[in-house]
Amino acid sequence: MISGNLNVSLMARLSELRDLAAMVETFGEAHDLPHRTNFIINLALEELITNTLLHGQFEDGVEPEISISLGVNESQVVVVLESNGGQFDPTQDSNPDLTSDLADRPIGGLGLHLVKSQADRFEYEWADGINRITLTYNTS
Amino acid sequence: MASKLQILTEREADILILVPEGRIDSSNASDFEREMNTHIDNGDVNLVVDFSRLSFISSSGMRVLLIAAKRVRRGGKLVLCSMRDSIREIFSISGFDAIITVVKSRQDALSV
Repeated sequence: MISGNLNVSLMARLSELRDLAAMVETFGEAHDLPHRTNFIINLALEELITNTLLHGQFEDGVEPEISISLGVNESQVVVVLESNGGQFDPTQDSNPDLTSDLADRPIGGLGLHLVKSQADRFEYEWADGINRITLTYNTS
Repeated sequence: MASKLQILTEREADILILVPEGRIDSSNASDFEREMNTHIDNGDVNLVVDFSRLSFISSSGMRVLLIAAKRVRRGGKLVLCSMRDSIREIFSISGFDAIITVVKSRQDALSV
């Protein structure tokens, strides 16, 4: 695995997620990341950023600000996502219903469950008005 | 930029096959939902979604499939086929493969 970093700041619109996904894809290919790792990182960013944009608490006049950094070393990819929009700890989200039959299965609540299930470490900090989520994926 | 989701449709007897292309994420899941609802409203209740041209789906797209499966469950069926491994994995993690039929190939989907 080739070590390296990618840093991206978003204007925070859902439409930008496409550009971000393409950048992560290119970064992953350049660093020989397995396809599955690329996929689950893109999924995690999509789920977490969508969550912030749709459910974040932004006071009047405050624009969403999101920054992402990816770091790769020989054995891990570490993704750090920082956002404003009020304190929200996604690691504390309650577990969704995954077992009811089709008629009773609730719609929604899956996104964070996917992120949590696929990351090897999922950590959250709140400091100076910024949510910082750190996701670690083992690649070897 | 977000682009409208392209969905090819084909028909095989009373089964409508939908083949979405590219990505289904939070920026275009509403296109997918509109298209699924239109077909179901028009009386198509035997649906196959062929994932062979889909490289990515997030929970916003999976939500649309769950809604469609619920809508057609009386008198019809939703079957999913031709998923790549990374997509198959998230259907398994979410427990969707226990409530929505997922098969390997288009041929298998048409014979369910």
